[in-house]
Amino acid sequence: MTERLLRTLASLRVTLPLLFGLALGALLGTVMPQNLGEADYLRLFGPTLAPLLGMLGLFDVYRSPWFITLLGLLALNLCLCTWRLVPALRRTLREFPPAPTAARTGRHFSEPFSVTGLSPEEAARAVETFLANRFSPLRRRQEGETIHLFAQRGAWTRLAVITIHGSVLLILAGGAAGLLWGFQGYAVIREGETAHELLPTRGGKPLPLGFGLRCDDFSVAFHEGHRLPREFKSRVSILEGGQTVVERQPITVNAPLGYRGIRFYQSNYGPAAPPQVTLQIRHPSLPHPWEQTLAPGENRPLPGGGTLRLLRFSPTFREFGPTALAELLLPGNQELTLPVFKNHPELSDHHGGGGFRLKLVGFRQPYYTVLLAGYDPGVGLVWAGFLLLGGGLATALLWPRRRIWISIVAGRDRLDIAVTGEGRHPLRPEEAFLATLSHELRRRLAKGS
Amino acid sequence: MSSTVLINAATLFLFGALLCLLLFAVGGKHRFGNWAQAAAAAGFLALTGALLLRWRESYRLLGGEGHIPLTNFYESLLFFAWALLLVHFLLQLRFRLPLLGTMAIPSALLALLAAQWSADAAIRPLVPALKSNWLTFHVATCFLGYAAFAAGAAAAMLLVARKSQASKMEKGLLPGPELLEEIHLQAVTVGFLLLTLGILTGSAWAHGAWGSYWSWDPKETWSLIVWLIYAAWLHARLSRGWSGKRLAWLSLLGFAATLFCWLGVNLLLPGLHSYGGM
Repeated sequence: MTERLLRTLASLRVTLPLLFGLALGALLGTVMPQNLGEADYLRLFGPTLAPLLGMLGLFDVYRSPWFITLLGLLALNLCLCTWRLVPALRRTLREFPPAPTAARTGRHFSEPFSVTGLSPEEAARAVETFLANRFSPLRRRQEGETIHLFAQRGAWTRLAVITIHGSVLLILAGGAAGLLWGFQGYAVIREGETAHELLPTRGGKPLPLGFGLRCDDFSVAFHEGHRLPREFKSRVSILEGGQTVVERQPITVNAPLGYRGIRFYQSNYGPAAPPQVTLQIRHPSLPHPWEQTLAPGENRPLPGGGTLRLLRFSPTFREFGPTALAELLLPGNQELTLPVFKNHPELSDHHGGGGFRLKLVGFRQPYYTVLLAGYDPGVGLVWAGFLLLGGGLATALLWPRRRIWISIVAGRDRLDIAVTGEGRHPLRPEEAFLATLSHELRRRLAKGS
Repeated sequence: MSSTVLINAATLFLFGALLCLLLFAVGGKHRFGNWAQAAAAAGFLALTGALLLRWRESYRLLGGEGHIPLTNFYESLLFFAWALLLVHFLLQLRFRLPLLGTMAIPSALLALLAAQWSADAAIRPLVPALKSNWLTFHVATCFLGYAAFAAGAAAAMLLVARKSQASKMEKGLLPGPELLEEIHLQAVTVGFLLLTLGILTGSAWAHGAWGSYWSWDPKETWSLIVWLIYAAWLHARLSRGWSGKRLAWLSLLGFAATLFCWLGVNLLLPGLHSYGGM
């Protein structure tokens, strides 16, 4: 029973259904919304269907028992199949395979020719010396008067299949290690504050970091004339045992910071408080420019009577850059609404401002930063797997591989020689290679006679 | 000269190539076949120029923030058309068969028209996540892989419909069944290698940018589905001895998944790869 099960698992007949099964499972995971809250699923599928689908693991396909079982079965199948492949591979490396016939493959080429004045043995020797520096040692088989020679090149690339299968196993093992012993969480830190724990991405209790992570400051730069951020950057310090062990290191998107095996990524950001905008007001009635710092929605009394109110502020208003919308409430119910552009002060000198000239001196936006943190003990295995997979596939699929068969048939007063070949070369077509080889061989043998 | 002018030129050349190809298929005059190839070659050169020019234009427009034109849906359509033609000419150099471009030329034309009609052509600065040296290698390997799968699928279609095409095969206009099989095998094999490299580089990049080498994002998942189907294809061929029609159908399934991985995911499924949307 166990033996039969094992034999089934070790056969390629299982591999194809497993690959298709995994593909189908992966597909389900992209069609069904994954990892939503319970309430969302109830709303989507109703009270009878939702729990059923949940039980089938369809709300978290890639961590569901059946999907992981399929992956495990694939790993097992891969191990067993590769193990069974080894003797077969050793045989193909050593054996004298039969020459291909036109019916068997579209890749072969054969061109017979004849020579005179040589014995089969002499001809075989000449062929062997001719091919010695281009191919591995020739193998020879004799059938009566006929001598068959066989040579190959790049046969070792067949072993790459072991590397490829091994690399997939390494990647799966790395993934399993990450799933079992790794974690991923995030920290939301305001500028100047320190985080001591992470919130797990997949929910659950906060994880203590074992050290303090302080966001010293956060900055965001925008593309000129766009609302698109060009770069956002946190500067962080790490505090451990009362000491600052890492000081003001930058973390940007695509450039994480590693500490004690944990990597911190710049993930997101947002305003931690309303922006503080500094406006300057000039008016003939004011003895000198009057400056005030305030947040949107706040009021300040004007020295000459009336009120300044900051209606709105945006650090990126269309292509104008930082822009404030201010309101002046003057005695006598006069109301002025004035846009102020930091990068375009000339636009503020408009008419109808009642002699008031506003300038946006500067602003300060306090931010919080969202840092993603990940610890993954399997990542080294995954990288090793990636290198082996890429290299193994390239070797197996592209490395030149050739096999040639030469038969020397003794006729009454001549030798009939046929060159047959099979192979693959990314740059040089097989026919051209064999035609040249055959031509040179013919010249060589004619010279020897 | 701007890249748009060259794209229009490429579209016209490909349209001309398609017309010549149709005339050739109907009348069988080899002159038209040669014209079709020449027009397609001109289209390919124009498109190459357009991509290079767009690359330079992005530096002129955005200064130091310029970037290779492989960053949104419009550019992916242009690059896909270019890659289809590249694979076509590689096959043409190797096999020299007049009707080999029957699929490649209209498909490339369709991609160009789709780019011009429906996609946003503006050159924009990149979001921070896309600013990485992985970008070029990741996108180029993926799309060259898609184009190789497309060539494989074209051969597979002819293999499936080979009875109806028998007369053209006999006249030497289309490759015969043996050669078709050979083209099918080579194209899918190269495509599989390129797709694998595309997934691996994407994964390495994701580790640096998103904090995880694999997040089951729809694009990642669909690329894995495509990879699994073609892995099954390789094993069916190498170990179970599949060939001919049966293998061709499997390859067509793989290409359908490839198209969904590119277009379906971009247009229907939101996720981390949403730069490619319209």
